[in-house]
Amino acid sequence: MTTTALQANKLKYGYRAKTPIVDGFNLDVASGEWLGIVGPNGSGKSTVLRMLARLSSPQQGTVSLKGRNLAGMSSKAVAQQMTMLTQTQESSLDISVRDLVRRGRNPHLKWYEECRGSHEEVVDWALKVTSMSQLQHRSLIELSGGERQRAWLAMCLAQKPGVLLLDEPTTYLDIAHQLELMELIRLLNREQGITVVMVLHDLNQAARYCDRIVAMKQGNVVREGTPSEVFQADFFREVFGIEAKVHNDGGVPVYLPCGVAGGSRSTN
Amino acid sequence: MATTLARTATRGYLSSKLVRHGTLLLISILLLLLATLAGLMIGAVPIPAREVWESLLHASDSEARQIIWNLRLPRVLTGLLVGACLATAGAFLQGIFRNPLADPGIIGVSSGGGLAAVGIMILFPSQIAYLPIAAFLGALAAAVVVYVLAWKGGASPLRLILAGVAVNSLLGAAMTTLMILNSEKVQSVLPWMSGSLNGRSWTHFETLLPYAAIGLVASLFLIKNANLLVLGDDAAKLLGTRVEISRLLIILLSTFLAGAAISIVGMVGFVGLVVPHIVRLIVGNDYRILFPISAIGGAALVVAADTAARSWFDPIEFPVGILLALLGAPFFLYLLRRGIKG
Repeated sequence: MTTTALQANKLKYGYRAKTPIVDGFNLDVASGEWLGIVGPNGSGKSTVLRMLARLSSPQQGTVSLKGRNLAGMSSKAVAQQMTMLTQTQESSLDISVRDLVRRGRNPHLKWYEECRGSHEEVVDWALKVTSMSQLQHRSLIELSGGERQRAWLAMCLAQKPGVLLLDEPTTYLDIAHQLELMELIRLLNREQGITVVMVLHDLNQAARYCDRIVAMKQGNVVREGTPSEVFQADFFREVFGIEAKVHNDGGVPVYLPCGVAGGSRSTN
Repeated sequence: MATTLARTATRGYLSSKLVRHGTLLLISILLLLLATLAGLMIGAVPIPAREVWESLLHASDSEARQIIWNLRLPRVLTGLLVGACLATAGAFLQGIFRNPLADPGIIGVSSGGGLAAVGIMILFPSQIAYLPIAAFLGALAAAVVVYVLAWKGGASPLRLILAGVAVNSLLGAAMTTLMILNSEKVQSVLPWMSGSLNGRSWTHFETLLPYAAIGLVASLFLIKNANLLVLGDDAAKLLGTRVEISRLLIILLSTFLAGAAISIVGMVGFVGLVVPHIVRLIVGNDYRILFPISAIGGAALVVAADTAARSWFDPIEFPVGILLALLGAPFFLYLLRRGIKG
């Protein structure tokens, strides 16, 4: 029997009341699983992720973290158990990588405490797993985009979160760095038991790495299951409006887009 | 083995960073001492360093003692506090706005304090004794209005800046209206408008000291908050910060510091903008070092500039605020183009 790490119950969110971005969204994330959220642009993926991370509050519905209502928890209590790697980060910061990662210990420090002793060991560990030990004394402004993202991920890991949310973490990376990041997340998921919820654009990567996929369209879940269950030809037509062939690569479904469904998109 | 090596390397680096920060701190303190000494020596009657020293230590009836003790020392010390307050306010505001162009003016401190002061000087000149407290309250009120206007489920940096621009232009217009309708009294307002330390005495210093002390000590407790807020609202929230409360505290602190400073010397601009900016180019974004060096640097700059302002144009007392802008602006542009850390 698996326990539920994160649960969303009838979430609703929108800037205008008549056309909500997300409406009646439900989700159960089991402890230790790696869940991928996919869907076309504007389907509400990132909005959902922000509500799960408590970066925005749902207009209706609740999110619970290990059975506790997120809305009733202190900011620190949330930050001790869950964090998120946002899609973009503040880019002009002139502080060293290590100083950034140290700030990841904040939720575990009292207001008068400094990052010292055993906290510094966690920082060492976070730098090591993200292969940032060599670069730890460089300033963030001297790093490449991929290195900078690893630095921010190291900060997230220094929080020692049980649940890690990631918003399209591979968007700005080349293919080698994309795979490196996914392998790193796999390691953290398998060996540290971190529950992972990731919004992803690349469907083949989602199929290869995630335990379970949730597909969203117009603010709600339309398909849900293992990659093989979700990746059917009609899935691509219905959710993304494309024709695609699905191959089997040793148990992992791989899709090949063949064109826009119905020949061409309407131009209304 | 490898870990030990890494540890040693880390420790070596940390101590070299401590040395670097310690050196910078020492240099800034030295600059402040030099500026203070120059401020006591230079003037209509030049006084050599040795006499300055004796006048400070021993009470006597000598002319030097009178000039140092009654005129120059209170003025230098007031300038020192003003510089420290303004630069600290600017350093914290630039952090929470994540905008290098932020200064205490952005949240309405200058225009609010300015309108209140000009109102007193023009409409109620007999109540001039209440000018500092009126300017201080005006500055606080304007900052509160800006904050309330910007609030919409939270006060984002962008909305704060927009509200600040609107409030500033409204208060600025009111101030100009007052001055145009009373053009015969404008002459008396000008030194205050441009920021001047002319005739600042022990009374001014003693008025400002408790505010500066409270504000600067309180700043120490907001270093951690500022270090988290510079990461961005989302990142700070994800690290367990209560972003809105943190930001409000920092705005209140900056308003308090800058409001206290301008209530004593008038609208000295530029220090709050340029000093933290230059210091950031040298030491980076860590407030543990950015705050103290900005405060000391701001103090040194105002003391040095005021000394220049009153000696270069002798016998005219040039307002220090104007000199800061005249000399500081080109230097600032030069630094921006060059970039200290490359």
